[in-house]
Order: sequence, then structure tokens, then C-alpha cells
Amino acid sequence: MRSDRVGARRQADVVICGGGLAGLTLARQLRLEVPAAAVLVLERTTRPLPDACHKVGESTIELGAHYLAHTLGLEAYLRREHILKNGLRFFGGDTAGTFGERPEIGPSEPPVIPAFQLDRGKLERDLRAMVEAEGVTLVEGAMVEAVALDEGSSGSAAPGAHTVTYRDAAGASHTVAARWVVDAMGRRRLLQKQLGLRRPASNPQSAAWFRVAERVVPADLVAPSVRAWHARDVGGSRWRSTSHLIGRGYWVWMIPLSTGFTSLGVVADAAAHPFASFNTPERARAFLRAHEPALAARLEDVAFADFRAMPDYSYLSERVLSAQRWASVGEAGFFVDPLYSLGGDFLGLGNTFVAALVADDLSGHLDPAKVDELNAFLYETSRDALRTTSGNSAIFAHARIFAAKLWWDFFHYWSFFAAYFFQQLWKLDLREHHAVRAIGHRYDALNVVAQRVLETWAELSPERLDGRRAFMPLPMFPSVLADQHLALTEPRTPEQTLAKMAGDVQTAEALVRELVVLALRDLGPALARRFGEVARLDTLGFVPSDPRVVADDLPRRARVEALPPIARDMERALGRTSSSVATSALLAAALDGARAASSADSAA
Amino acid sequence: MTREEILQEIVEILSDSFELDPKQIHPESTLYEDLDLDSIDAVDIFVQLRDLTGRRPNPDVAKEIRTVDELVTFVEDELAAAERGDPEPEPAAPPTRTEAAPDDTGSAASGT
Repeated sequence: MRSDRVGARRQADVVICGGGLAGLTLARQLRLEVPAAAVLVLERTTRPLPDACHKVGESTIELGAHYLAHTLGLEAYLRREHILKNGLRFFGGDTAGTFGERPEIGPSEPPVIPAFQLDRGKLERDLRAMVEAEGVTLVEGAMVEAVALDEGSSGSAAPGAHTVTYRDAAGASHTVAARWVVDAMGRRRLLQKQLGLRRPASNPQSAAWFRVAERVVPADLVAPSVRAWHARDVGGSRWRSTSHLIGRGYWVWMIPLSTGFTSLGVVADAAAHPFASFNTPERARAFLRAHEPALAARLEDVAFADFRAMPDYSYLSERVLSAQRWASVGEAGFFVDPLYSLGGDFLGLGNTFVAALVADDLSGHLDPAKVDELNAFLYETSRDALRTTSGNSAIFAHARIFAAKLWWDFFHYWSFFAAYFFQQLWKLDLREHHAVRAIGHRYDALNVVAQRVLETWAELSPERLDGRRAFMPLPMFPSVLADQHLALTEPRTPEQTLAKMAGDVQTAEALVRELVVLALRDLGPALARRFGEVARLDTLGFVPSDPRVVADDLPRRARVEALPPIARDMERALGRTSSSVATSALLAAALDGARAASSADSAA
Repeated sequence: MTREEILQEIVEILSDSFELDPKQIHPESTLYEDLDLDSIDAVDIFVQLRDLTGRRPNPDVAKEIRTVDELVTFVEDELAAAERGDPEPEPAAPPTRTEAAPDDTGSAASGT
């Protein structure tokens, strides 16, 4: 067995620096997919690891969960040892009012495609035992001190040209030769710093998080006598969600863990809430008392088991995969944002690319163009995700606008990014993969417009503490949106998925136009013109069509029959704002405002 | 909850959701003809009724319902089942959008 020689010859095909979630999952994936590769993992900490250890990233969504459950074959383990998650749930509205009256957005049934809440301490402890049993050499207590990369061209670099130097638990220094070096050491970002690849991310948000050794769930915040609120939780699985309490400029997460702990975190925009207002346990409690009094009261006599604060947590990288046989995976590469729990997604996608490239390399077919292609896909999708997760300060203050954002963000995620992974599109040949990226670029452009429409809508919208509807199911079944969720596991070839995506991106364009219609009707005649002016509606390129706005002004039955299904489905989920002024007149006013702003610009 | 109270709740759901005049909605009104609703609307009515009953509706029972009065009886039965602690139907595999409303294609998208 090739892995046997790791100890003897002090060399390995893949040396993974860091045995946290990213490193251990990559080690397991390499054993499964590239069994010929000798894998060495160097990890600083030693067992035993406590439950609920000091790491963030407990919540997974479809892509990351699919990676763990299916790519790594851990589904039975996750169902047995961790918590089956019930989607993303949001409570908006009046943050100081009665919790049971806050509008709730989230799934009404457990999801068709599962995701999990992970106890990271337990998971990493179990993964260490698994990878060792599978033939990976895991050295604990190993402090990586230096990585010397052979910077020769990919063609000429001899196997084992890189070296990694580490100090063992006893203080002795060792050097290992490596064909591939993978940095999985998290935010230390050794390779990224060494190579000068770090890119700032304009996302001035910070976070603080802590765990408590008991279960804290939204139902704790609502009196049992509020029957309708509790009755809404038909299957009794609301507590399994990642719950988000959202308010202007911030959100708070609540995640249940299988070991009985609850993970809680505060994330805030620096412009609305300075980091210093929540960066210590005492300040975090004070922040919650000021903004989320119901949760603060629940936590009053509950000790924090740990606490960590992280200012300006986002960073990107233009290169995390190299034809010189190195890679940065997990948080050693880039980190977007905790909103929507995308960390596990990018971890799974990055690892999968590394495993594919190592397999190519060991069979003598490492194509530098393919490395660059996959690397570009990671950079472009992370940049796009950052756009989705930043600038939401005002949107968090308006539950219905936030629900409209979820419609767009989920459609975008399921129809493109998640579909890419479930349907294994990285296996397409380069020319076809280019076509996937081209669709991705159309989504990027649409996302810029969608987020601008949503932000402008929220910024202009007067404070409204009612959410109009107590509960907005999301996704609503059946709907055009839910179909994208269901389609993830439909058996299709990568080529068929590519064809489907080309159609879906057109539906995405229609969705963006619907956001404009929703915003106009919600803002009404007093603000429609201003909306056009601020959003620069004339330059967006996604103005609702004449037939669409004409249909909107028909009587209900005729309108339902004339509207595209996506318009009807959004209206079903989000409700419809009654307006004394026809949609066509609102649109005309908005375009008027936009044109006036344009001519003022050109005159200036 | 009395039948009269249930009727009031249902009238409110129907009028709010479908822009119907509450005065048009009577116990004998048929959902599909008198109130001009369709299969998607019916799905949404049952989603909202869950908030009232706290139970997942049995799809086989739900699809037989034709009038407002039958909806009232349905809610009454569900509330009684909740009171007795009857087991709930398992969540059914959700239909796709096309399965639920094969004719709901819309025409404004194509501009006709």
C-alpha cells in the first residue's frame, strides 16, 4: 500500500497541512477517489477533542451537505450522529415586540434534499478516526513551520519537489517531500500570505459567536398559550432549522447541535453597529438586550461555554488551485460570509476540484488550462456570493423585502451553483465548462441588478413593523422555486444540465423583473419615481415588459391566467400590495425618475 | 371553535388571498366555479389552513373538497383529530409546479 511509505521515506503524494474539517474531508475524498495517492495530514491539535469545539461552521446547506453525505459517503453517519436540519428560518419585523408576532419565513415541511447541523468537535474527532482507518497517515501535534514550493513549471516539477517542514509534539523538526501541498490550516492562510495572493473583500461585517450547553430554540421565546404560532410547526421540526433573528444592520443565528449545545452568533454591518458593541461576552449580551430582548432574556442566566469575535471576516483569493501542484482549501483559501452557511459549500467544491486534479496528475494528465478553469470558477462564484451576502443592512429591517431577496438568492443558488455540484459539471470538457461559466457570468450580472433593486427598495421603504403575513413559507410547494430544489437530484447528464441552465437563466431574468414590479407596487405612487431614480432603472436592462405590466392591472382571475408562473408564485409567497394606481403608471413614474436622473447626470 | 368561527376564518383567508369580496363568499359557494379558483389556489388554501388546524392535511381528503361548507367541515374534523392526538399523515412527496397546474403557463412572458 503506497501510504505505508509515508512514514519510512518521509514523502507523500499529497501533504495536507491542517487536519480540521477541510483537511480531513479532503483526505477521506482522496482515499475514496484516488486510492493510489499516499496522503499525509499534519495537524497541530491532539486528541481528545471536546464536543462543540471552538470552530464556526456548524450549519450546512444543500451543496455542502451533499458533499459530506454522498461524495464522502457519510449520510448514515450524519443522520445518526448529527442533526437533520430543517432549512433556513428567519424572524423579522419588530425586534423589540412580542416574539410570536414577528413575521416568520422558512420551510413548512422538512426539506426534500437534506442538510445537517454539525457538531464540529464531534465530527472532526470522528473524521480523524475514519481517515486513519482508511490508510491516511495523520500526525497530530505537528506544527507546520514552512512550506517550500518548487516554482518550476508544471511540466518539469518532479514529483516530491515541494517540501513541508513541521515540528512534532516533542519539539523535533521534520521535513517531508510532497508532490502536492494543500494548505488546510484555516485563517492562518500560510500559502496565500507566502504567495501574496490575499485580496481584500469589501464586506465591512463582523461576527461574534458563542455556544451554550443547552438547547435554545425559537419556541422558548413564545408563550405556549400562543397556540397558532406553535401549531404552525406541523411536523415538530422548526427547532432543527438554522434560525436567524434579523433586524436593521444585523442578524443573529441559533443552531442546535447534536451534543446538546446551541451555537449562537451575532453578525453586524460596521456602519450600523460598531464591532465594539458586541465583541466581548458582556457586550454581546448588552447588544442582544438592546436589539433582541426576547433572546437576551432567555440567555440571562445561561453561561457561555466559549466566545469568539471576528472583525471583518470576509476575504477572497484569485488563486487557490495551481498547476504547480498546490492548493488552499476551506478557510485557508477564502471566506465569504456566514449568511446562508456557504462555507461548507465552498469547502466541498474546492476539495472536489483538488481531488480531480490530483487524480489527473497521478495518471499523467494534469492540464494547466483545466486548473485555471476550475480556479476561475471558484473565484467568480465566491465573488458573486459575496455580493449576495453584503449590503443587506436595510433589507434585514423589512421581512417581506427579505423574503423577496430569499426568492432570488435561492433561485440563483439552486439553479446554478448547487446544480453545478449535484450534477458534477466540473467533469465537462473545457469548452463546455466555459459555456457553464458564461451562464455564470449572466447570473453575476443579474445578481448585481437584483441586489441593487432589493437594496433600493429597502432603503426607500418606510419602517413597517408588521410583516403583513405571519408566516411566509419558503420554498412554497409547488412553485417554480421549489422545482429548482427538487431538480437538484434528478438524474441528468452534465450536458443536459448545461441545457437546462440556459433555460433557467431566462427564468432568472424574469424573476429580476418581478422584483421590480414588487418594489414598485410596495413603494406606491409616492416613491415609485424616486425608486426609478435611485435604482437607475433605465440602466438596469431588466425593465418589466409592457404585456407584463398590462397583465398586472387585469382583474384577479384574468391576471393569474396572464401572468408568467414565476410572477404568480412570488405573489403567492409574498402577497400582493394593493395599490390605487395601476402598475403601468407606477412603472412610467419610475422610468420618468430614472430618465430625469440620467439627463441631470449628462448635463452635469 | 364553532362552525361559525371557522367560517369567518375561512372567509378571511379566501378574501385576503384571492382579492374576493367577503360578501360573495357563502357556505354553499363552490371553490372552482363560484369563486373561480384553480388547483394552485386550492394548494395554498390548505397551506394556510394548517396554521388553523396545526395538522398536515390528508391530500386524498383535501382533493375531494368542493365548497366552502366542506372546507368548514374539514377544519372541524382536523381540529377534533388534533384534540384526540390522532397521528398525522406523513409528508407526501411534493408535486412539481407543472404537475400541480398543467395549464398554468401564463402568457405575459411571451408577450401575447
